[in-house]
Amino acid sequence: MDMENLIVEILLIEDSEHDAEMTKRALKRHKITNGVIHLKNGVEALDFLFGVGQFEGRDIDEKPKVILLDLKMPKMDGLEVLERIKANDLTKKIPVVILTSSKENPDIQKCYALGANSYLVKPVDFAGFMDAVSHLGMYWVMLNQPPN
Amino acid sequence: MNSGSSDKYPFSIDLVSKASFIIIVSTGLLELFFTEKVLLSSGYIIGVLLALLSRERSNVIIAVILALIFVGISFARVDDEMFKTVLITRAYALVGLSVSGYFILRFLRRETKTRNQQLLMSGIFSHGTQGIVLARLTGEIVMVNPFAEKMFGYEKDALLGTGIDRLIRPSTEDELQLQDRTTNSYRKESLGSDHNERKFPIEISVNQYDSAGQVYTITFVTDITIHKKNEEILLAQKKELEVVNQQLEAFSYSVSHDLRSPLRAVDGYARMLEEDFGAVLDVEGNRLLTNVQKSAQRMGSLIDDLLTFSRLGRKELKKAVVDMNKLANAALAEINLSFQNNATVTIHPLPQVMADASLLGHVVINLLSNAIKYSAKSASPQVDVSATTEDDSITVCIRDNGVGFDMNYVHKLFNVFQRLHLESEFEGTGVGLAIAQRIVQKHGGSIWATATEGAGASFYFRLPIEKF
Repeated sequence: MDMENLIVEILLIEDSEHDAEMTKRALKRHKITNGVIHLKNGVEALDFLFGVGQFEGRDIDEKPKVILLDLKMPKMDGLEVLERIKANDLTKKIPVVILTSSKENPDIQKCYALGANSYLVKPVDFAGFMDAVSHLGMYWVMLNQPPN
Repeated sequence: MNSGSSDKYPFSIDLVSKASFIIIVSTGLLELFFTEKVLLSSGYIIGVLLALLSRERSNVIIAVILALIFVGISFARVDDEMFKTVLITRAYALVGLSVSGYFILRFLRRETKTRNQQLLMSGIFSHGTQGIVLARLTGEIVMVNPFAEKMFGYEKDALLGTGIDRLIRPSTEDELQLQDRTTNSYRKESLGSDHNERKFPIEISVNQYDSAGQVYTITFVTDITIHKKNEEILLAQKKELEVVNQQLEAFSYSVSHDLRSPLRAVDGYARMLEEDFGAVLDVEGNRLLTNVQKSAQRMGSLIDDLLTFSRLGRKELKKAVVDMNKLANAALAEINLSFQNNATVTIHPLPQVMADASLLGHVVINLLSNAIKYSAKSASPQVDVSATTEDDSITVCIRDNGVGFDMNYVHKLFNVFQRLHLESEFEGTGVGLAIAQRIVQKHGGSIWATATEGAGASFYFRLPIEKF
């Protein structure tokens, strides 16, 4: 993967191909196509952020404007990824939006406690989902003023 | 309690006393009218003795006074100096007899009372169903009751003179700190040890007392083995329940997450297909596609409702005073926001109830939205909310003039996923009333409905009145 010099706007950490495809489609509606990186698990995502493993040598000062993080993933789950991101000075300022399928999630309190910036329940219906994700993308990528 | 009524009178004049008075009076009259100067002292003495038998001081006093009155009358009537001396002696004798007799009787009575009490106390000691161990401050056992012998499996003689620590685990320093030093008495759970050194849980209640300069500790011992066992069983069951509840929680989460993800994909890809290739498909192709999406969405609401149903069933009630008027109006406002309707809703004055406001709100929203939904096809939809208050309960009625339902199927009305109308006629998942019933039942109330097909339905729920 040639990601070394890519400008990253959105880092999508999502194990479901389908959800990722729909998310990318929604972002595309707002012309957010470049700089969307989709990684399928937590380990990969952390490697990317810290420029290690397969992302050895990536310019880690090139930070995404927002991280969209799915909670339920095999191996390292979203909560752990969130904790690692927020525990590290290099990455803790990057806004993290939690995406989850369920409002039943007992972890919603934990997410905020760990420093999540937003928490979004993916609607079942496609229209709702598209709306939510495109608003989200627009807000964080185009409207939000990042810390640096 | 009629038998007890005589106790209320301070002077109970029983048959014996009556007899004593009659004997005294007739003795006096005989002496006065018929046999003047005849010595009838025995009559007075018998009378006073009888009065003494009644053991009532007042009766004795009355008897003596009566006798003295007659003696006095005789004294006034006779001139014979000799006889007068006899009468004075008789008066002294009567007073002396009654006073000494009274005190003798009283003494005897106290003696029997003490003896009876002692018998009673020793009865309690030897027949009590608690072990009682009396020891000196040094711990040396002075006395044990038969129940304690049985409990610890020792003969009394084997225990007397030995240390109480042999039976009851001594208190630790920490426990001694906690004891109430002002009264020297305490109660706690401890361990007992029987003749086989078998340890068993006991509860002891210990007190100190002073008897003739010697300080003793008296210890009441209760074997709480069964009690402890039950406690353990209850604790185990509680833990088991907690585990089951956690599993259910995890299951709910997993159902909501794992079932919704593929559903979203089904809906999403159908929509993408429609967006990207809708123009290529003909009308029938588009209809099929729409049905895929609709079904996915319906499945989504079913999952949501099912989860709500399971969550509400486990939720703990947070009761407070709820103003039903506010609740009903808020419910109506919410319904009007969520779907267009032209129903005329009349909310009559409603009482305050003790309930979980958010859960009760759920019930009212459900019943009210049902009423509005099922009357929407009437010429002029009318919905009426009213309440009646009885002695111990409040019944709320929500009535509409809608399509009603067939009373033959009323028993199915409150079951999960049961519907009495087609999805194409009226939308719904069939979970709402099941949720409402669950909430009302959690409040200790009941819910029911009556209807005529085509002429409206009435839904009622009754909540018990609790003190605010």
